[in-house]
Amino acid sequence: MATDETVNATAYREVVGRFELPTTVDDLRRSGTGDSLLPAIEVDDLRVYYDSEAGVVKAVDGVSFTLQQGERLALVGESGCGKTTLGMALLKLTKPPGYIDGGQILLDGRDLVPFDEESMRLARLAEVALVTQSAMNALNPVMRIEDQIFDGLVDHGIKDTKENMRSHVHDLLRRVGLRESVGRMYPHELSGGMKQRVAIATGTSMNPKVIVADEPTSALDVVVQRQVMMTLSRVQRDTGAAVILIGHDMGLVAQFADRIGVMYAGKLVDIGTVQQIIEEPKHPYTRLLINSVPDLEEKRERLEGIPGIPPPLVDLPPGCVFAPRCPSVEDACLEISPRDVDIGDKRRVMCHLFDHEVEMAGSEVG
Amino acid sequence: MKLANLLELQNVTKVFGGGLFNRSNVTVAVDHVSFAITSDRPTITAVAGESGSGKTTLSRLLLGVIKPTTGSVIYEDQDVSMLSGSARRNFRREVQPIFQDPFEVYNPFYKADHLLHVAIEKFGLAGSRDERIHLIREALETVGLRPDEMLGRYPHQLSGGQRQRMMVARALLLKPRIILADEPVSMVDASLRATILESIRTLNRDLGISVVYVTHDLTTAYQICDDILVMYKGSVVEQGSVEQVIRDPKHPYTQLLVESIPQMRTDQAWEEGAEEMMSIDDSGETTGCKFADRCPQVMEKCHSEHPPGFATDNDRVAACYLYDDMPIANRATIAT
Repeated sequence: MATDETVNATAYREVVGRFELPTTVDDLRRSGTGDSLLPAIEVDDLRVYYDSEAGVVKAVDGVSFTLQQGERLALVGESGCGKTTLGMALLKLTKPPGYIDGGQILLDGRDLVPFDEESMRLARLAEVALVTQSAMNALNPVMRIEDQIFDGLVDHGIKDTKENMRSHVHDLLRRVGLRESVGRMYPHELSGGMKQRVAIATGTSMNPKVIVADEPTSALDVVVQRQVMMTLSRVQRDTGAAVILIGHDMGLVAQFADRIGVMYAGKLVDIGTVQQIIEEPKHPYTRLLINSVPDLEEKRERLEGIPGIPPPLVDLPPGCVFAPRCPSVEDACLEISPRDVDIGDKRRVMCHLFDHEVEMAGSEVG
Repeated sequence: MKLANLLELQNVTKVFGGGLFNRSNVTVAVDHVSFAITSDRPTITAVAGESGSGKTTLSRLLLGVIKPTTGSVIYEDQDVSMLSGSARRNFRREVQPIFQDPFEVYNPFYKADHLLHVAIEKFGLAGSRDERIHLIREALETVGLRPDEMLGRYPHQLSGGQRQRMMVARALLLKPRIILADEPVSMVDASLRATILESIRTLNRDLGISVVYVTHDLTTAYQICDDILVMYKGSVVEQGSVEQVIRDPKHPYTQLLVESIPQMRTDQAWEEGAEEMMSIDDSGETTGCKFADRCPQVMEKCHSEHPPGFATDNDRVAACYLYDDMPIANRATIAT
């Protein structure tokens, strides 16, 4: 860990004490989004590295973005681009040999990076929650659904009567479109879609400010996928939480998110609104990615993928990481790493084509 | 006029489980399915459905690795389960599978091209070593791989896309007449998906190989296929050309499926309200239509009687009573 001081649990309680930790179900019902002036989460120059025999793998390399409260951001990219590593790092669930090398994760104005494990454990669920790819594996097969949800609440300091707790769980289940009786069931009695909804109910049981959803529907069929995404959508609106959706299905992302961040080789290379990214992709990688998605509009003569494969993340060559596969590559790309350029309209692109200070023949600025 | 069929399913049913004393616990994976692949022209047919719809069982029946409980699988006028000796060998060569997982098919201790050598040896395709290498290089080039980068490498040194394309090359080596691709792109990235599907389409267009594409992804099915069968709990609910079935679905289940495809558009957002409570009872034991419990347009009749296929258009069949004013189709005559 590259930080000098860590925040321990007592200190965490003191810091958070200002916002009053919820202790009863009534508190929970009143809680929700934090200080409305601050962004829900602000990530600044976050770096997550892995030590390997071949060298340091820079899985997430200097990623910055800001997510306002109630906003939905989708992170997309090919497998191995670092999107899941980034998602896990936001909850500080990075496992060795991985570590957070530096940067800041400001949640409601407080930096999570220096938090020790105990404070982080308290912050998870209560402030930042995770909905994973396979809820099937997240549920305990020998515990009733409601007991599993109680567990999380009790562990995070909620003390209340059994009735109040149960009524809270019923509210949560209804919110995700499940019957109250599901609370008394065991995981094997539920279908995949229902289990994923239980995972959403559990994840939102303490009204977190940020929900990280890592490919929440990739194990589900399209019909169920749509139902689960609509559920997540409604819960998000009800709780006012910000959502970070990690996925690779551009269609799904377009239907759900407000903004899209495109990742390539550990870097956030393009970020903008759904409309900006899909209708006017800027970064050459984004263009190819959008272009490779088949649609139902017309039959294409040729289906085109992105040529080449992503580079190994050890010992990256100088210059732009996408240069070897880029159709618009020029000399400068092989030498200088592109900067994160703000091109207006809250749009950022990491490409020399949009940078005033780099001479490019195919430049799209000025 | 009866068209000549290359591979045909005749009223095939496959039941798993049960047994002599336990009649209650059976799964009907494929339920009275008939369809045919014509030998007139090379086609690409999609078999689409959710998980548990019986599409993988159907593809295993077509490959002849499992036998139907009732009905028969016919390859060139011969029952596949009756084939023996050279006829069986011939069938094994001419109908080639490509599986879902490009990681599991390789033995990590052997070099990746071992798989290609074995195929050539088993079917005695090459007389000499040079000829064998030549065949392999040719097949790899056809699927867009550079032989020099592939040969002598171990599976872990190849990407998922390269491994899957090598499987396509293996199928190709044997000069098959039909390729049965069971979810060939569900484990690879979207960017590679296009590349692999394009190489499958090349086999069809340039080499005249018919393809059965088993998938849950209607978008790619629409892009590469001519015809489609939509399955629900073991039954074919709708079949016809992709243009008809996907652009203008008739069966309520197909309509639900098509509506649920997340499209990459900003002008067409999903509407809320489609989020009905899912039925927990999934046994599928009904004498009527299997979709009746979830169907928004359900009628009384649907619960009691299983709908036959109605010919709603030329060459399109929908198994739904909404179209019972149309003639009942004889599915065996509909060659896809």
